[in-house]
Parts: sequence; C-alpha cells; structure tokens
Amino acid sequence: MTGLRIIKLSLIGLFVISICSIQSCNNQAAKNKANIANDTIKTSSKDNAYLESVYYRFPTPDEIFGFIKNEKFKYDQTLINPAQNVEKYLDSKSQTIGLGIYVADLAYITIFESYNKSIEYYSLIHNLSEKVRITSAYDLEVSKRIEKNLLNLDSLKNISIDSYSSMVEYLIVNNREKTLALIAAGAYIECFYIAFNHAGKFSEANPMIVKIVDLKYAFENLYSYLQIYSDDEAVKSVAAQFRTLNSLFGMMKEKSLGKTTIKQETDGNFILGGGTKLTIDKILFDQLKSEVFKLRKNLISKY
Amino acid sequence: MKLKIKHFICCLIFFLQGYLIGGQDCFYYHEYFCKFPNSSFFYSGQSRSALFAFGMTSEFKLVTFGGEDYHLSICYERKFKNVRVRLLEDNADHSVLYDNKEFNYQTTMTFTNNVARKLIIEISVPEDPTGKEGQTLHCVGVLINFRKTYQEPQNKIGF
Repeated sequence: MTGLRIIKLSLIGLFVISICSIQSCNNQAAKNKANIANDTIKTSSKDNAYLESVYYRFPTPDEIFGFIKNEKFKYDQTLINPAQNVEKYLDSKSQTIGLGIYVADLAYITIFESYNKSIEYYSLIHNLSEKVRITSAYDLEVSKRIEKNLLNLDSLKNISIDSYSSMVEYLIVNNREKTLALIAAGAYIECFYIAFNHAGKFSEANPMIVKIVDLKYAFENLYSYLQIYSDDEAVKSVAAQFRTLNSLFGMMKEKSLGKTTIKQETDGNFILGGGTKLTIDKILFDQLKSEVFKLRKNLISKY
Repeated sequence: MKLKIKHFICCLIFFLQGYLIGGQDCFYYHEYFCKFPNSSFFYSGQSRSALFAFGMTSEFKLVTFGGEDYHLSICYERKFKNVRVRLLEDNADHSVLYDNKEFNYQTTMTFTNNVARKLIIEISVPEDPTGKEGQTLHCVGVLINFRKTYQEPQNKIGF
C-alpha cells in the first residue's frame, strides 16, 4: 500500500515537472531570443531579419599586465589602491567601480606572486562582490587555499584569471552587463594608472609606452560598451567622465604599414602583417597620463 | 515491489537530471568543449559562447595586441555541421583575413600578430539539411588563447 502511494506521488510529481518543463521551455526560448540579441553585433537568419545589437570584448587586466612581467618591471606597492579605501565605497556605484579597481590590483599583485597581498586583496574583492550581489566568483575557499600556501605561484595567476572570467560570465548570464561595464571601467583606469607609472621616460620605442598606445583599441571597445549601457545613470556618468580620455586616444596618429596581409607558414601558423601602427608624441602622452591620473583620483576617492 | 519502486525512483531521478541539464545556458561551453592549445598559451577573457540557430550568422569584436600569438578554437554541438568561422578586420571594408571554409572547416587556427588590431570573429551555422530542427538553439563556443611571440635569442652564449 505504501509502495503504491509512493508511485502515485511520484506520478503526480512527474506530471507537475512535465508541465513546468513545457513552461520552462517557453521561457527558455524567450530568454534565448533575448540572449541572441544581446550577444551579437549583427545577427542574420535565413529571412535576413537583422537584430541590431553590439557585443564587444576587451582584454582582461591579467592580459594587460602579463606584459609587465615579460619586461621585468619591479612590483611597486604604492601604485595599488590601498585596502582601507574600501570603507569609502558606501553606495552600489562606488562599490562596483571599486571592485573593478581592486580586481586590476589583484591582477597586478598576482603577476608578481605576492602571497600576502594576494590573500588580502582576494578577500577584499570577495567582500565587495558580495555587497554588489555577485556570487560564484572570488570564492572565499580559494582565499583559504592561498592562505595555506596550497597553491603554486602559477596557480595564483590562474586564480586571478579564472575568477575574473567567472565574474564576467556570471554577470552576462544574469543580464547584468551594466554592472560589468562599471567594473571594467574601474579596472581599466587602474590598469592605465599602473602602466603609466611604470612607463618612465618618454620614448616612442619604450615597450611600456608601445603597450599603452596599443591599449587604445581595447579602450575604444570599452567605451563603446559603456555607450551601449548608458541608459543606466551610473554607466552614463562614467561614460561622460571618460569622454576626454576617449578624445585623447582618438588623437593618436596612425602610420600605415600597408594593406593587411596573411600568410600561412609550413607549420600551419598564420602570420598577420601590414595594418596600422599607432604613434604618440610626448605632448599627447603627457595629456593622456594627466587625464588618467585625474580620473583615477576621482574614482578611488570621490565617490 | 520494493525493487520496482527503486527502479521507478531511479527513472525519475534520470528524468529530472535531463530536465535540469536541458534548462542550462551555454555560457561556459567553450571552457569544456573547445580544444585548448599547449600550456605556453594563456586563456583570454575575450573567449565567448552563445546560442545559435540553424542558418544564423553572428559576430563579436575583439582586440589583439602586437607581438603576440593567438590560438582560436571553435566548438559546437553535434547537431551542427561545418560551422564557418571568418576572421575579419574591424574597419570600414571588413576585409576577410581567414575563412575556415577554405581549410575544410577546421576548428582551430593560430596566428602571429605584428601590430595591435581590432578584429571581428564571424560565426555562421549552415541551414539544417534535414529541415526538421527548425529554430532549435544549440551552443557554439569560441576559445581564445594568447602568448608572447617567441623571439630568437640575440648574441648570447651560455646561461
């Protein structure tokens, strides 16, 4: 009798789940349609119905700072945003931008494999991400593993990359691209600030200055991303703050290296040649540097 | 009787498992199904997965730096066949730099970049040849990895 009752209950359960599944499929299909629209810059189907939406990607702070290590710069602790500044970030906007700044700092710290600072900043990022309701990334368990020295130095960098990627994916999955825009804005200004501080004396051949110049394209994608989500007041105000920086990047000169070419080598690898090389003079470099420092000062303290 | 109940509950769990998996999105698809290059490359946060329908074309913009090698790998669900990947210059002409159609729809490619560039990755899924799938959606992932281009050592002998 009890067995029959279990089967009956199970059948009812199955029926309810089936109904939910049908409903969920409908919702999923609607959600999928929305995702397609968000993910593409130009999407066409067989009826040539174009969905007008843009999706931009830009390198993460870890990708930007990877270069610093290659060039054998020395770690400078004074360049990162002090941990105690976190107490100043009381509202959602400043916490989100602050999160981006600290994420960039963590990327910088992990490049130089500093265990103690990594733990401090990882925990700080975890707490801030909880405040802006981002779960799943920057897990506290990972922080404990760093603390116990259970990770090798390469893992430390991978943690920073994986955590950032998880956070980005979490925000996209949950349709919180406006939050991502603010985080990326904070992270990029911090990356620029650290890069300019490491640049030293101006010379067009200076590897760090070459890298800063190359970041123009990444900044352009970020700026376009901010524009897309400018229906949000917080994003709109950050985009407005970045307008001068965008104009300054736009003043860089482009030197043509000829039409872009691609050729395949015997090992299968392709070589991209030609294209456009960006150049900068000292005046523009100083203007960019000054604007970045001004923006960074506002972002870390004013909000 | 008890055995029958056990079997029934097992079937129910199996059914539920399928339902839960079916309800997931495919945002992490590239991390699980795209082919990773060797360990000299690093994962790029510009990697991306998205849902595609048959006969659909979609693009996204990315930034590449000079002096770096990039490894692109695409992956897609088995329902799709011969997914086309084109690498375009993100300029007014949108000139085509690479088209995997010319390489038997291969799913990986590596390129060395001399200067920073804005590029577009365009993915096209062909029409469903059976016509049965309609507008069902499946995952497509694009995994991007990068490394600093190897430089030949200059005039240095020994360690």
